[in-house]
Amino acid sequence: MPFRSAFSQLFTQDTIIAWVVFGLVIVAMTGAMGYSWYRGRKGMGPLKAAEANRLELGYAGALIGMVVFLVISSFAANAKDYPDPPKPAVTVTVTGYQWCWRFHYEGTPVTSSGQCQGLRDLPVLEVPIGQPVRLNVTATDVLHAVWVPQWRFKLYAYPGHVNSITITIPRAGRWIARCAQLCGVYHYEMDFWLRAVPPATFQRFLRTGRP
Amino acid sequence: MTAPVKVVPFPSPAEEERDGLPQWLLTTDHKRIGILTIGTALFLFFLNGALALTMRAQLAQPNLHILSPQAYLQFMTQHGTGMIALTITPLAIGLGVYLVPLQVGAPRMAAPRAALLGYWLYVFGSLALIWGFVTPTGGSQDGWWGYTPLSSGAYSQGEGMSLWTAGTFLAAVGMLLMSATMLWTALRMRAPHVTLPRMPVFTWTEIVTCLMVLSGFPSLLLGLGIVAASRVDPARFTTNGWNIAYQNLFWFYGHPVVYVMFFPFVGCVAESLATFTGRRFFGYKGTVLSLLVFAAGSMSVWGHHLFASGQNVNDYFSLTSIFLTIPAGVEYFGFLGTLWGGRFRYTTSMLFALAFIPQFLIGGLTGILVANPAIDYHVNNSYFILGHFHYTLFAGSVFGFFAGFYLWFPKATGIMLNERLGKLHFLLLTIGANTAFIPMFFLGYDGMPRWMATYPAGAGFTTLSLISSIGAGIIGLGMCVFALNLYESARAKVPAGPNPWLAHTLEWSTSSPPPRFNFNLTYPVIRVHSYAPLLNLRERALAAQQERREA
Amino acid sequence: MERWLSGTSVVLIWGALNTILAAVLAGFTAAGRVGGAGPAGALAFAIYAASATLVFLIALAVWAGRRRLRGLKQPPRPATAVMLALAVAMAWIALAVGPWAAYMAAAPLLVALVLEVYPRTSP
Ligand SMILES: [Cu+2]
Repeated sequence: MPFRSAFSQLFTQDTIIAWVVFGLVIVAMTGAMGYSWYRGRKGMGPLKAAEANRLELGYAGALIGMVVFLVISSFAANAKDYPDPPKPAVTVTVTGYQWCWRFHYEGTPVTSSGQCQGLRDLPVLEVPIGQPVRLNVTATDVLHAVWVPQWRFKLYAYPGHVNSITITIPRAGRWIARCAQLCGVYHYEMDFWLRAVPPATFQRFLRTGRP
Repeated sequence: MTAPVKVVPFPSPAEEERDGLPQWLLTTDHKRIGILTIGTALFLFFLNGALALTMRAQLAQPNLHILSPQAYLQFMTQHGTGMIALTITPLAIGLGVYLVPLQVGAPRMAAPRAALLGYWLYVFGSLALIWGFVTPTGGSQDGWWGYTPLSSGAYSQGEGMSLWTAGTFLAAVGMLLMSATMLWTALRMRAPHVTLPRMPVFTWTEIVTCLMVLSGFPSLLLGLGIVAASRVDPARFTTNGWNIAYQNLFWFYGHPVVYVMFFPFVGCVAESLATFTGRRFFGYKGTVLSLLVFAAGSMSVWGHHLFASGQNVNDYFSLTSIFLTIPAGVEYFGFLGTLWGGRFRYTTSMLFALAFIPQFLIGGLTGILVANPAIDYHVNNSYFILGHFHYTLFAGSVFGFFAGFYLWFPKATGIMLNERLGKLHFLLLTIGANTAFIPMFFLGYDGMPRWMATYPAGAGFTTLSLISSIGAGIIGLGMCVFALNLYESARAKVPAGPNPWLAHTLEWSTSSPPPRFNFNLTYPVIRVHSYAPLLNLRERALAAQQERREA
Repeated sequence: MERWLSGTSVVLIWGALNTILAAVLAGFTAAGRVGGAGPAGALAFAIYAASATLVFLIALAVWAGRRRLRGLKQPPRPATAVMLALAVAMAWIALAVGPWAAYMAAAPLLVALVLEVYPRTSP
């Protein structure tokens, strides 16, 4: 699943860089406080120098180098998330509406939904394990957004527009998906399940319309 | 060698303004307009903060219904729009309206009636938003973005959203007018010897802020035009094109505005650090250049709010957003260079400025994280983002504001603030802010979306939410101490004198509070040789003293 | 630094930087990677280009503007500003309460006009 792996790799890398930078600034600040105390004890006034052009230029150069690296890794990760999409095994139209979800499995008569109020009867988006699934995400009224935190992807659902994303879930399981765009009063209840099942089970689901 | 330069004929004391309420509300004195703006914004800060505390109370435990979902969304919208459009932006602009003419040696600001018009538009805009709460359907529930079509007449009936549209528009026009007059003052009305490279860092931050306002805010006005029209005639605005147009127009304002709420406070921190280390601000040229590049570049990053929209040039906006690391890094170099070799005085202002550095850094570094589309696909619209921008706006900008507030309060009022209460205020705010906002990163990472009126038990959000709510409570306590400090200092009336902190910039050479036209025969505009003119004078006096001692 | 730095040049630097950045945006939009193609990309560019143009107009205004410092008198009739603000506010409030508020806005507008036409005698 590219979204999860690209996220993990980049998040780890950039978080490490962030911690290093944070640490350096803390060290510099603490050092400056200590140095100030030392100068105070020696009865020295504050330094007069207000420029160090060479140092500043060198520092700016290092910053530029870091930024180039960060940009390249950002582009690379984004390209992994949105490659030329593989031919999907199944295409599902995911429709958000106030305030629940509806799934239509293209090329079949199967449409499923559920109850978003309360956790008992949430809609379930069924997908086959290990096969690319194309989600055509749209909405009927206002903006919504599909977010599956476990698999690290999110896509807005616009009324009158279809956004597409291809996901491949590698293992069996059931994960919560949430609406991630303010869509009105019951936004906070607009959840559904993403469930990955073996391809055979999935085919049976498509035939019978029942999980 | 430091002969006072007489730029203008000074008015007699009789011409100075009287002190009644009408004189204040109809003032054309930039200092009074500035104080009115900051005062109004601080009042709204308490109001919008109280809303946040109520929301945090609701979120302290799962399935709480202290507020109905409708009321929660109304509080949330008012908290967002209120803090951004009616509080922190006006604080940023108001500080400049007060200080910029003083710092550049101008006797008054350009087009003061336009600035007064701006202030009143801001006041009427704020009133319109608050009015929403007493209408039958309550205030707007659509978040501070006011995205269409949710905000259109079809999905948000009632006056609340209309009043939001009106109020946001009025306040934005108000800020535009104030910025335009301030920019003109800084660029065209400086005392002759205050050349651009002799302007204090704070004035530079206000100049780039004004430029961002002038190029970003008109876009919001256009966007609000779409919202207004879609409230009158929702059927005409159903296509995707209008929605994506609104989102681009909104964020073309919405991203620069977060820097509008940032740069002036960078200026506050810079002046505070320079003052309380006794050093010239370090790396002035690099900092000024980076401010220009940073602010100009900040116009190009708005699309990073739309990474998950599927209708956005993601790579470009990732490039520009990460690029901003360079000028931001240069500014940090200036901060640290100023600290190095200084003689620290740990005043309340200095403490806020020092805390700004690592705390804003957390906001900035997590900002680099979310500038990656591959990371944003996960954390976009989650509590991670809330953590990120509360670190920039509260732990950063508001701390920077207080660094400036404690620094310049004696200048504006002529009396000192209580330092002991100030330090207590600082301590509570620091503990509270970090307790409230650190858990948000983890909540978002674990899958908690924004805008949730409540959350189910067993979703894994309970403990972290409770910690965050406790932090919010501590912030509330800190703000009570701040209010107490204002009351206590107004009662004690410890006189400040012209320059209680031994600060470096021009406004400290005049009386506290300054006369009607900023400088007069007793306090003339001194000759300015650098961006720290008073430090120049002190150093020269010190050198002369030493010479005499040696001789 | 002192020589080329002026109010106008500061605004011009700004305009130039934004022009460059807008041009890069156009390049990315044309390349069309990940959601870049289509009307949304063109729209983003149009907004940015319009704003960059506005910056040059501001630069022009700053360049053409005179130092305005006509002595140190209080500007007369500040109440005009408040009346004008009230009128604009009432016009916008019409969106919430109906067109009558916009008609009522004529009153403060009239007061503002009268204030400007018949200058107050200084007290
Ligand atoms: Cu939704």
